[in-house]
Amino acid sequence: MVYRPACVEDLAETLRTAGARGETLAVTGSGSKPGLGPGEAAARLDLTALGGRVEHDPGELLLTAPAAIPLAEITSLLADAGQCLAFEPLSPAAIWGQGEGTLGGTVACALSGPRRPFAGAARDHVLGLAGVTGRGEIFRAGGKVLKNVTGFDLPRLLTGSRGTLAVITELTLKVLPLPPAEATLRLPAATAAGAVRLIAEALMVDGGLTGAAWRDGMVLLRLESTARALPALVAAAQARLPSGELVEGAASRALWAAAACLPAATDAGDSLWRCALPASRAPALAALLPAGAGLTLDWGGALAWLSLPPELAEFDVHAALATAAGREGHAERLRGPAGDIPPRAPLEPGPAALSARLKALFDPAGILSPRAAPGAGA
Amino acid sequence: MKMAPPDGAVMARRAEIASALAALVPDGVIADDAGVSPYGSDGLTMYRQSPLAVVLPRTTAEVSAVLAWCHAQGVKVVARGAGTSLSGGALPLADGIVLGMARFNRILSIDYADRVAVVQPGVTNLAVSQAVAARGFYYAPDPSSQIACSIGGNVAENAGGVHCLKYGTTSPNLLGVELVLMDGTVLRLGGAGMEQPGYDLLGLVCGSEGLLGVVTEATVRILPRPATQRALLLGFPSVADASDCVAAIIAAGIIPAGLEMMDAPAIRAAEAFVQAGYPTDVAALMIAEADGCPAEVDDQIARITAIAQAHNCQHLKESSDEAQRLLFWAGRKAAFPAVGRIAADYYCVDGTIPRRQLGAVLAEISAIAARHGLGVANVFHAGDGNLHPLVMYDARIPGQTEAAEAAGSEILKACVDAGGVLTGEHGVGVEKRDLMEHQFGPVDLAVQSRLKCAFDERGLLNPGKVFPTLSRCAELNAMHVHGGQLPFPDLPRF
Repeated sequence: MVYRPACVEDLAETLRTAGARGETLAVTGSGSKPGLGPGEAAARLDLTALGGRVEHDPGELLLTAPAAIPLAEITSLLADAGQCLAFEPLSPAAIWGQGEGTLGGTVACALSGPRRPFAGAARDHVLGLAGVTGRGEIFRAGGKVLKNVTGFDLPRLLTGSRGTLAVITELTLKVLPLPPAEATLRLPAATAAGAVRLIAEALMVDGGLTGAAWRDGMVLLRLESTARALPALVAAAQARLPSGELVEGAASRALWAAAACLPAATDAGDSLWRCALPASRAPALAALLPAGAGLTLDWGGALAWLSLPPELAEFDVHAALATAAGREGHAERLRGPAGDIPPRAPLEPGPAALSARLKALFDPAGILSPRAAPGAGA
Repeated sequence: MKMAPPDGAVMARRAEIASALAALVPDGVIADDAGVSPYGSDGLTMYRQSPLAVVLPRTTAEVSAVLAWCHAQGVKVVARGAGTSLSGGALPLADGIVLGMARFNRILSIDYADRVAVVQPGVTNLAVSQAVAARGFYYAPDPSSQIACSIGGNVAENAGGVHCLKYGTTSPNLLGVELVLMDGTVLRLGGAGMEQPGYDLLGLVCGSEGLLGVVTEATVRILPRPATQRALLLGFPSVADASDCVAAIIAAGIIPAGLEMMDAPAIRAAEAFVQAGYPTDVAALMIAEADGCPAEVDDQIARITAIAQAHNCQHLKESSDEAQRLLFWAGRKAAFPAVGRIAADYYCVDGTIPRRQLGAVLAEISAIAARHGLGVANVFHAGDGNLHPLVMYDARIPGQTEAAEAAGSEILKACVDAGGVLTGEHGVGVEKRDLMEHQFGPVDLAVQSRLKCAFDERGLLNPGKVFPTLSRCAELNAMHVHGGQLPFPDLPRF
């Protein structure tokens, strides 16, 4: 069974009816992120028919758009005005090869890209939204202004909630200027420990960095600015850091393209894990990985991408994270065969209890993507 | 503004409550009238209410024990940081205790490898920056009260400042907290990393105005100080010119580190107070600050200058050194006390509007103040549309306090009607509580109120703040909404 509501009122009615029947729904946009997807449910709720107006006001740094709009449309609309989503959403096509997804799915899954440590995460750019709770209530939260502390911060709570609390139908986002010029310094670092040390050194001074990653034995440091100021930023960085190679313009952009963040030798059969942890703990994680595992770092070391070939599919990534970073690390398998290792580790008891209570309050019948709720499937 | 009638049964137990709490926090309970009186108000001095008792714990275990005891006994709790809230967020309740966090005053660790500081909630905002200054770092959010306001209060209010267009308010700069729930449960959200698993509970707690839990530790991001900072003073013949100039700067792809505006009454008050070198013959004055490496700052200053000149800028001064830059800011940062010099009392209002509405909203604000026979000066975080009208009144003149309150409410409604919101950075507290229905529909408020139930089902933590309706969790949970109509239109109001 597939429900495909054409307007918000239909959506609310669909949810109320499903709630009364206890019919679980797999909440989906365009299905671009199967690894984060809703999992199994009695029926599918397809949101792609929910239209709406797009309002973009570059001078106000605001964009309001229906959640179902393809992300690519938004990206190109913003680029035409010299703006962007500054959290640099990760391209799902690079991971799952099923398109770039919708704006709503981008926010619901909240996979922020390389600029996250410098410009903020997805959550920091969601200013307001409209949606429908699991009870079928149509509501608004946040606002259509840049700075707002009126009431509880529902937009942050719903960002990354993967459609398990409410269905987002419209979003207002903070958009920012697209930096007009960029360059990347490539510096050798044979180990994760060396890379994290080098990146930390680079980040000890304000130098215009907007990306700090490590892969294939090289630290990548991205600098962005205006064409006029960029050469001076580059020169200053080169003067205080070990010597390396300078990659400019389109070649630099290619280095930060979505697919480039992932471990290089990731075959379709490999498991792909995304691990968040304090940057200083990344070397400890690297030291625990078995031979044959692929590792890249982003977010200055605070995000580790791990690929495991099929013969290492049962390597316990959660245990490695716990050893390396204690309670401050967590991992999720985005792709790869389901085995004995669950895709996510259980939450700690305190957050788990709060999350379960929130889920029950927003969605008492438990109909919204129950398999994707925190704690489920762990 | 009315609070719920206090619970006489709880008030009658004052001595018993004080002695039970004293057993949990030795040497940390104040329960005499003179002793609790200083806690009777916060930065919103219009309202005053002494609590039953004040408890000053030193440890998370003590906070947990106090909350668990109050939870079991049905005693309400208002947490208090430095007491600088401008929305009455820390206003005590007659039948509740104040949980003062001032003794949590230590910086626990500073980690330059992860660029975070772990601090107790009573540490002042400025102290975090001072603790990391020697290594060239700082804590970015800088509310004007930063010398006094505490990190715990900053988290509760999601405090902003004059640099948050570029660097964000508290929330983007907060990575983790230790939180105690009303039932005494201690939990940790986030940490030194950049993402927590599951729902963004940390993002929800930040800005929750003390309704969801008590923060006993915070992990904040620290940043390397900008290599260079330079400011421009830009005077305009009209607010419209200044406002168009702001939009043009942003549309040109420039995000200045600071972009502030003042109207003529605010300029004159600030200049008389600080002698910052402000021109007093302009209708609007802007401070635009660029920061970053010297080449970037040169580039930005040149571009902003050109845009300003194209928008009828009649006065332009660039800071020539750090002392002058700080002087430019000194006038703006002292705008509130400066207005305090020319008026017996002033009431600081806090709304956000779409910037393009500035001219219309300022005209409306003048008309509202005039209607109430009061003066008004406006300061404006122009980059992010956050407006602070300062309504001048004299509390000694009968009726003026009420007139200022009424003018403030009308101004905030005008902000909402212009497409804006009730509060950009000061919080709802008690001040704007009864205006929430002007911005949100009944369903929107019910959805928000339910969040409280997940954290504090009995409604004992800072009740009477933020939400106008006294809804019980059982009612909210059983609520079925049809067509925006709630089934309990006659729920009691404060």
